[in-house]
Amino acid sequence: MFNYVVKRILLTLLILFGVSVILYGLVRLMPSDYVDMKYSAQLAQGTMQQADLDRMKELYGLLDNSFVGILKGYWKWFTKFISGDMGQSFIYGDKVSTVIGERMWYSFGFSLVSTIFQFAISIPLGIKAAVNQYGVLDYTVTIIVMIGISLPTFFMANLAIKIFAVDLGWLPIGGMKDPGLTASNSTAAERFFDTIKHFILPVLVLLILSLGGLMRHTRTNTLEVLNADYIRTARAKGLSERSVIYKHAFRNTLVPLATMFAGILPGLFSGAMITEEVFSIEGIGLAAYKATTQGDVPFIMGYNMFVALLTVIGTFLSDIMYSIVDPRVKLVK
Amino acid sequence: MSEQENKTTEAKDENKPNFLKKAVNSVKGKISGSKKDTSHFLTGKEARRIAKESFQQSRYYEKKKKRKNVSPDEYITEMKDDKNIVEFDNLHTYFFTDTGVVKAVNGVTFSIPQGSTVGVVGESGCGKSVTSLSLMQLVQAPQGQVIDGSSIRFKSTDYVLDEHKERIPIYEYEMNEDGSYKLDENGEKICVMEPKLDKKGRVVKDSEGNPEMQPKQLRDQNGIPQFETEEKVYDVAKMPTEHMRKIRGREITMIFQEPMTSLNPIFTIGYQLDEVVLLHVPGATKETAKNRTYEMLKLVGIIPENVYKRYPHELSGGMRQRVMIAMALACRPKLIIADEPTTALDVTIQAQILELLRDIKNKINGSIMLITHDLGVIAEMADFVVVMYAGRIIETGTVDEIFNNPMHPYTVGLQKSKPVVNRPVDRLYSIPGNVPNPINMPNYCYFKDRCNRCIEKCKGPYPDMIQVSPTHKVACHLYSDMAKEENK
Repeated sequence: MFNYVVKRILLTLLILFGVSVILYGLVRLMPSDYVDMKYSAQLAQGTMQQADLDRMKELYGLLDNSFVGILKGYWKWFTKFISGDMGQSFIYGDKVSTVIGERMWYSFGFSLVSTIFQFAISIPLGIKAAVNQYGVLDYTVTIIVMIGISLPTFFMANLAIKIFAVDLGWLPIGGMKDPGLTASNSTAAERFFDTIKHFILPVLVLLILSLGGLMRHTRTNTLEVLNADYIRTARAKGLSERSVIYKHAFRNTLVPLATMFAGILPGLFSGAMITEEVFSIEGIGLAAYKATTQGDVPFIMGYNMFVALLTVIGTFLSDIMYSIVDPRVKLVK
Repeated sequence: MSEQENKTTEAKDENKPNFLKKAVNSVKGKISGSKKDTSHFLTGKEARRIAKESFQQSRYYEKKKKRKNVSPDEYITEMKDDKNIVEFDNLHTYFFTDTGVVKAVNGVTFSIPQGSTVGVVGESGCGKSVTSLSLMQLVQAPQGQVIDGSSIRFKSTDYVLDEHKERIPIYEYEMNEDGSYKLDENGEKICVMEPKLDKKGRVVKDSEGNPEMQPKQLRDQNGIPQFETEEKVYDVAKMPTEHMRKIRGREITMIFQEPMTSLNPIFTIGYQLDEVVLLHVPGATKETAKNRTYEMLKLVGIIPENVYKRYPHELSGGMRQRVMIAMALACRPKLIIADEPTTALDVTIQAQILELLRDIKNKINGSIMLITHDLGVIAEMADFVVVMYAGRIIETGTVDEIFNNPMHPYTVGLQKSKPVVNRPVDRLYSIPGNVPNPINMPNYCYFKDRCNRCIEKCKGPYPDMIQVSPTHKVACHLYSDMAKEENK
């Protein structure tokens, strides 16, 4: 087990290194950079000259776009990164680690709630659908979750805003808190419930979008398990249908589902770009979206390395989950 | 036999709801109209109609099985012959598929005498397994259903219930030294008394501090309390699944052909064995269940300590099949169905497993229904043999009769196609052709197209069962004259 963990950690470092090389190369190969975008208007008006821009680029370390230049830039970023410094964000003007650390928790909060609901709803639904294969329940559930999974996020989000915020007026349109509530005119509980109110719609939209995949996955796995020989043995023992499904079949269904855990961890922290954008939630997803469109190299690098690290950790955790759920899997070597 | 069968199908038509009558009629119509050479071709419309009818039929039977609060009087019957433990009577098991009705078992009648081994032989797909699964109500639902008019009578041992629907315990009585019961002044037997214990195992004391006494219940060597039992005959074909569950695993158990996949990979062997005991034995605790499991594992020749905490993937195929047998034995069943128990094992293990099965049958005084396509296994194990072909029985008799005097050309063919050691043969015989397509079976002998001894009469309707000796029956036109002569 110890050897296994050490081996995985070394492998993780190697993967992260590879990811960072590819990422940095891609970011630097983007046709326009931060300085070009920011000062394009001034350049067109003639208030700034190309020479000024070049000086700025030099300052940001974006001037030399040759292969050697990119390598040098990478080396600079890499040495800082190794020492634990992810650099200064261009657009936020703060340390990348601070920006991520501040904004991550909003995204984490509502992704976590939505993920909990996602598992709590789609796994039982998937099992029910499998048990009633080709029945009314199966078709109804499948059609509903398929609608959810097929419609794009912005459509679903705008639809939800139209219905619940504009027409019915039950929930706020966007943002994270009501600016009218300040520390002086409201209690902490009021402010807390106000925040919750703002997060209901984003959570709902995320939930509807993610239900389908997991539900279909569970359904397929359950169907496969229910046709297995050992389920027939369980029935032949005289067990009730309930314990056949929820005891003998369910644990086996969980085995392939354990791999799904790998995807959850980065998903929780990395935020939902489009949902955050539509509901103007100042989460990490929105920050990453802005950084990408404006060529904020340190932030893009920092954010993506963060996600990569989480992904690798998630995979490791799901391997451990696998060995817990399935006694046939042993973590050795 | 076919007359009788027609009668029953007619009779059951009357009891069915309207849509079923239509469905049955249209299926019948399809069979008779298939001469227009549409048998290999389905139009979209027809396919939809068949799929719809199949769906309705299977739903009708599913609902029937899922009924709740059915009074036991509905399915309690009498055995025709009290020596039998199971009587299949005109069993029809159909699969309602999207392409038509598959008559997997089509009018099977035979019985399993108490304490005997009955072997069921036949090619793959001839309905052996489906017959046994029908007895367990484990046919692949919702497509596979036992049709109304079939009956499977099973003599079961059940607990006697008092007026509060509770089981009646058997008490231990005080004995004299000569083995007779001690009697009190009224001439009644005296119960052995024991102090009452609460859930934590402490003695319950009354207000004066004396332990409260209660009659001592009889327990077996594993510490499982005993209750009074009685014999009841159930018609499995009419039983709702809810009631059937109490018989499955306790009175009838099954050993499957695939030991590699028949055990749940994520539970330990011990857990899976204990589960049966805890489920079916009233008053069993974790500890007593473990004792029983140990006893059963020893019985099948495994050292219990070695496997109790193991997972199935850590055992070999032979070991797993032994575990399956131990599981089948855990509740001392009256009937063990062994569905090709040795097919997936290598030859040396096969011999061991068969030896074990025979040994165990004597120990628990039960019966075995042995399903196999291996005639060698049958010859070694069985007392009676049932030969099946395309969902029907074509020949049945004692093992001597079937092996020394096989009458049906199919049985003869089966025996010829068995490799024999010490006899020079040119080339191993094989019966030409395949089992016919089970959808839309013709109304003549199903074996006719593969038979090498066909006579003019074979073009006629399906042959009746002909009684050759008190135990030997065959369904073949070759012997119909013989039967007539005897009748004269």
